[in-house]
Amino acid sequence: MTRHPRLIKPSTTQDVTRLVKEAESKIFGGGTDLVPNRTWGLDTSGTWVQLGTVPETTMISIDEEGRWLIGAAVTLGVILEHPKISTLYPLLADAIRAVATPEIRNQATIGGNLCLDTRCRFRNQPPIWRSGLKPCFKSGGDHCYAAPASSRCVAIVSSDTAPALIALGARLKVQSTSGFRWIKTLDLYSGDGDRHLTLEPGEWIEAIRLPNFPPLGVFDKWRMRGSIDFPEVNVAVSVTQAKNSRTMRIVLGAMGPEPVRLREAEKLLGEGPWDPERLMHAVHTARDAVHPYDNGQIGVVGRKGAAEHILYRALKKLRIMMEEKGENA
Amino acid sequence: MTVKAPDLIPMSLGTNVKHRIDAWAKVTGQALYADDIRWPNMAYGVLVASPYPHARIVKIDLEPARTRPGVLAAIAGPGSVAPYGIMPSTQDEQAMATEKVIYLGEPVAAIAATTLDAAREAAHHILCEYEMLKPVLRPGVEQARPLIDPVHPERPQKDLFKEVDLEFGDTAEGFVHAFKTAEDTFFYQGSAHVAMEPHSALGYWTPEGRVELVTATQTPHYVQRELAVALGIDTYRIRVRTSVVGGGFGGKSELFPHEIATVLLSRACGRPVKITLSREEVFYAHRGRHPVSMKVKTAWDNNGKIQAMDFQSVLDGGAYASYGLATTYYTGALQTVSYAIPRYHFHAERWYTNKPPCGPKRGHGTTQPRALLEVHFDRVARELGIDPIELRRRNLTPPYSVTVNQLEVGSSGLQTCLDKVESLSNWHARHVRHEPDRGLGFACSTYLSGAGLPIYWNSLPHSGVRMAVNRDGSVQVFCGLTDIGQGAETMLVVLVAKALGINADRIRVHTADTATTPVDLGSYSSRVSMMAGNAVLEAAQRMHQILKDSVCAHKGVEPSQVTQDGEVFHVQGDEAVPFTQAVLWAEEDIGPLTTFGSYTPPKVLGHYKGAGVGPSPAYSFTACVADVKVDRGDGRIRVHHLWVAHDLGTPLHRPSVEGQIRGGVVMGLGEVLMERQVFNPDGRHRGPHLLGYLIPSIQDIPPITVAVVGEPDPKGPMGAKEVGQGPLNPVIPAVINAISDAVGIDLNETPVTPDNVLRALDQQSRRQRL
Amino acid sequence: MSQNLVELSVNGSIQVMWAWESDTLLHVLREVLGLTGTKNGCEAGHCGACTVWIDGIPRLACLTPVGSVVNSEITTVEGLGSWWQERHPSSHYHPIQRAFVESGAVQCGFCTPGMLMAAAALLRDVKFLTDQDILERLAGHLCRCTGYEQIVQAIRQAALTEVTEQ
Ligand SMILES: Cc1cc2nc3c(=O)[nH]c(=O)nc-3n(C[C@H](O)[C@H](O)[C@H](O)COP(=O)(O)OP(=O)(O)OC[C@H]3O[C@@H](n4cnc5c(N)ncnc54)[C@H](O)[C@@H]3O)c2cc1C
Ligand code: SF4
Ligand code: FES
Ligand code: FES
Repeated sequence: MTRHPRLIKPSTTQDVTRLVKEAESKIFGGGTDLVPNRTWGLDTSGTWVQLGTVPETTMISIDEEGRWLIGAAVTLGVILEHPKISTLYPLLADAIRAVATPEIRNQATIGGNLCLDTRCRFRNQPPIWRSGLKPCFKSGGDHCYAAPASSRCVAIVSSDTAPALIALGARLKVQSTSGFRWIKTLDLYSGDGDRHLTLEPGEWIEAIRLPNFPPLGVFDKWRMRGSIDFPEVNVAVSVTQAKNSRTMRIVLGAMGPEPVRLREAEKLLGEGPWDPERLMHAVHTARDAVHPYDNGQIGVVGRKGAAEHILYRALKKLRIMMEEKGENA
Repeated sequence: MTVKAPDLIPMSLGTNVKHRIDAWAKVTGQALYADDIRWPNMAYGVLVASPYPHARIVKIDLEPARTRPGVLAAIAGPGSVAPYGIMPSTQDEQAMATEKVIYLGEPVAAIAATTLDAAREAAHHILCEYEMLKPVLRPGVEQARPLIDPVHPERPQKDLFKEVDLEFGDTAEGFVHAFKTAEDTFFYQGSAHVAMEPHSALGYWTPEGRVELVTATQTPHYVQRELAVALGIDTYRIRVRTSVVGGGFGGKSELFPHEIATVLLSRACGRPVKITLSREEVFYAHRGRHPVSMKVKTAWDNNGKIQAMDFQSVLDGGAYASYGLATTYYTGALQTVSYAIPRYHFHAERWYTNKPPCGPKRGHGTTQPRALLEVHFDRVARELGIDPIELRRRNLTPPYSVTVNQLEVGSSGLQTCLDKVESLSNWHARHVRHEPDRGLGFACSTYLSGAGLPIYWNSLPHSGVRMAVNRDGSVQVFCGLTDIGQGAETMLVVLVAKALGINADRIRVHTADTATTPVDLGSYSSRVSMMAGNAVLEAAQRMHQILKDSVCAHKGVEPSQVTQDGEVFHVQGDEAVPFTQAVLWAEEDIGPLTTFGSYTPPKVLGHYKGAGVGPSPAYSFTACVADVKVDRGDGRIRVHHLWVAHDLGTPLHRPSVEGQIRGGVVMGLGEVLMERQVFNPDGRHRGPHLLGYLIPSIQDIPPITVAVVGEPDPKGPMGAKEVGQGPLNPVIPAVINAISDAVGIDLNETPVTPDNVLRALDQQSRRQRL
Repeated sequence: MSQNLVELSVNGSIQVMWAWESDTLLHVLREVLGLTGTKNGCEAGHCGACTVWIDGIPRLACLTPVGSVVNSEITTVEGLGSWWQERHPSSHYHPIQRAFVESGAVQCGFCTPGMLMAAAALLRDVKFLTDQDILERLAGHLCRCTGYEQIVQAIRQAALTEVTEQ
């Protein structure tokens, strides 16, 4: 590991791509994840490629089809203060407001929030704690402390904006040496806590595109304290009502190495009236869909309880919103 | 979140002290905490810590580190210091481990370099080899499983650190004739102080062979004494000064390895050395609240009066003794101060385990038994069909009485505290409210205003003050006390201003320096206001006498003809004499003006072994009602309101008093809802950082109504008693009792995590289905 | 690799020093520039004690590599008074400093510099403060001594003074 990573400030997307392709280099958004990881010896990269000087990454703009584009290096604080985004996408704004603390949001970028390294209480620990422990998968070893029977790392994606952006149907603009492509937010995650992103070397996120007709949605988060803490679980639910059909997105986050869409619940709630039994039934599908390990702050019982609790709460709130809009649920 | 204190607390005894005297320095960044200080040519030190909770040290090789760039000195355990420890009878510590490491994070070596970066880098090059042993993580496991290596195999008692058995009156007899008996068990989880300032110290072994230590400590006098023992040098060669301290709560009240290491490194490299602990290291240095398993049995008559109590506690002490001897006794000492228990049996054990040493934390040793006691009383009340507050009322220890375990209780406002929170919380209307899953819970408690005995046996004063009045009209107060943020220095100024009748601007205090200030034992056991307060009053009264005498002499009048009003001496039939003139005359008469004052607590009544733990010149009392709502979905407890009434005698400085109460209450709230110093099965701390060990944020605070009650205590300075620790204690059981009131589950463990609540609710519904 | 020559603007004056670009601003302020008013409570973003202004925006110095703020204006608690005085020549101190003193919001004082920087930014940004604003903006600042109430009171009081002074 290099003791002092370089901090490079490229000014074009091409430069970024070239730099990010180099081994041992990482994008530096706001650094609120990278820097503390560095201090604890968890980040070993040799170069930090700072995005703040690349214009495409720092703008909030509208494309020709009227869709909002948020540059990956726009800070969460700036997004919240944007005159349009918060009102057009309250689901996203609620998720952002739930991230960390005001000071951290002033520095943290939305790209960084999506790409935030996975977390685990057997790894995200300070130096002395870790020094006597044999490395686990994520630290280059062949073992997982959180899930001894697992053949791969199950560290947690704790991003609060990820479930929200998935529920909104946002697309990510991925830059690479061969040009750019658009991917669905959910497709960013691999499901392996060690290499949790599907991005290849040289690939990075330039911007996030929001749909111009956002679905109605609700975000909720469970954490021990009223602030600062990462989510023990978070949830984003959304609904798009067409004439005779309803499209649902129900996403649970922070339960494992990727956000999870509850497809069965989506199907259940995609039709028929939302009476309490149906809602409960939908909520209970989470039991088979997510399997948290004991690597969070509270125990597994608590996390599962919290997941169902906020999912139910979010769905009830969504029902009220639908009723207010005159849509029947 | 604002709720105004309903009682008008007089501001600072009518003096013109409005604000804390250290506040301006702290809001401008001028206040120097230990880590802010830099001495010329200073080197930076770091400790090398054991990564294992229990292991034999096979080898420590310092050589590879010595040749790293910037390295000035590297030292390891063997031969470095003599065993030391805060309690003279249990000196089991070593600055750096020599043969075995017995907790994860125990220092094994230390290194000093020209920069912090260099020191940290070089530390990686110290080669340590260990042979791992199975960690002992529960008190007493070695007894059950003899193959496990004890933490302290060299002791005849092995890991049983202390066993206490005390009986006052015939307890068995009380149970035989009881109308009702009841029993409860409880596990109180360990918790940490988490002062926002991590420990830090600067040490210098001077060319003359003296030791200068500036450190963030609550007890400079004890640190000096212990350091002399550890280094094997005369105490007078050592000077310990306290920097501005960023919070203590008991966590900085004895000598720590890093303090010794700064001195040893300095001796090795000839430069001053600073060591500041990382947040992680603070969790390992610990000395926090002991995890305690407890059991209580009580006997009652048909009027709801307690007849006998049997109380047992098992303390998980961690790796070293620390204050553990006192803690062990404290888990049984104060039960009788709140309730008149006629027959009392107490048994306690403290065990060593492979965890960071436990010690004193705000409420030292009384917080854990108080939680069980108050939860137990509530359950007894329920079974007897008596209102919980009423049950307490029937059993209160009367003021000015002696308890069965020979503690002299002085003034007591506990009754008033009860009444106050009862009416403020609208207690009796609680069952008319129809909000589901919401409930009220009550608890009360008591605490010492300073321990009656010092840590090491001696008959000297516990606090001394030297006062000088200079020609310039300033009053200089010298006292060994330490202001750790609680406002002790401001308290001195208030008392001096009041006693001398002068403008507070004249007064300067000089504290916590073993070279220039008379000994005060330190900021622990809520002793400062009581003891330093009484000492400073004595010095002030003597100074007043000197000034008055000179006025009489110069005016040729009798003392009865002189009265003082503010800064003026009125002389019958003559011109008034300003304070400043009196000062000049007095110096003319007797030379530079100096007086002394000191305080020694009253003699301890009891003669049994352990009688020294529990006595205090005065006791504070607190009562609390909590209003909580339990969410059955996620097991979350939402505290809607807390009402706290505290009897502290005379409040000396209103903002400080209110701040102490609120701070203590919020710390108690943290302990009951989220705080836990816990360890994985491999002996690793669950999360030695502020995202792994949670303390309340501003978003977690309910409205708190604070009421200050009580009458001046005859023993306290101007009638004052303690406020720093007591208000924490009742919060924990009040919340647990409220949960029981809300949803009918009886929790027997802290903290009340969502997991535990969900489990208990689940069991409850299963029982109901059966 | 070697250190870089870093130029920083702190409390209105230009400082030039050798440092690693990845060194945290907290380290540079305290150890290189001797501005020890900014406190280190955790070095990991968990406590808020190290809050400073970067171009007027409150941020955590322990999470900020110094190389990322070379063109920015940094304000620390030591510079808060002068920042105020530039705008209100009659006082050396920001009203929030006075309010903290007068409301008993300071106990050990270790959280205080960070609290002050957050509170001063809040007072600047929001004209008519609600308690909700205060609770939200201080959400990342841990205080172990006060129980927070007197800190909230101080900010309310400062909000009143600021309004009356203008
Ligand atoms: C005390 C504390 C509490 C926190 N609480 C929360 C919380 O509640 N919820 C939450 O979601 N997060 C939380 N965080 C984590 C973090 O602050 C946020 O997730 C933040 O949004 C990360 O953004 P950043 O720009 O600072 O990331 P950085 O640290 O700059 O980057 C994080 C990771 O993403 C990569 N990356 C950044 N931008 C890109 C890009 N455009 N393309 C590809 N890769 C990229 C980086 O290489 C790095 O690996 C918390 C952090 C702290 C210190
Ligand atoms: S989930 Fe397992 S492999 Fe991944 S970081 Fe945690 S312990 Fe390591
Ligand atoms: S020191 Fe920066 S947040 Fe704690
Ligand atoms: S005043 Fe001590 S931490 Fe806030």
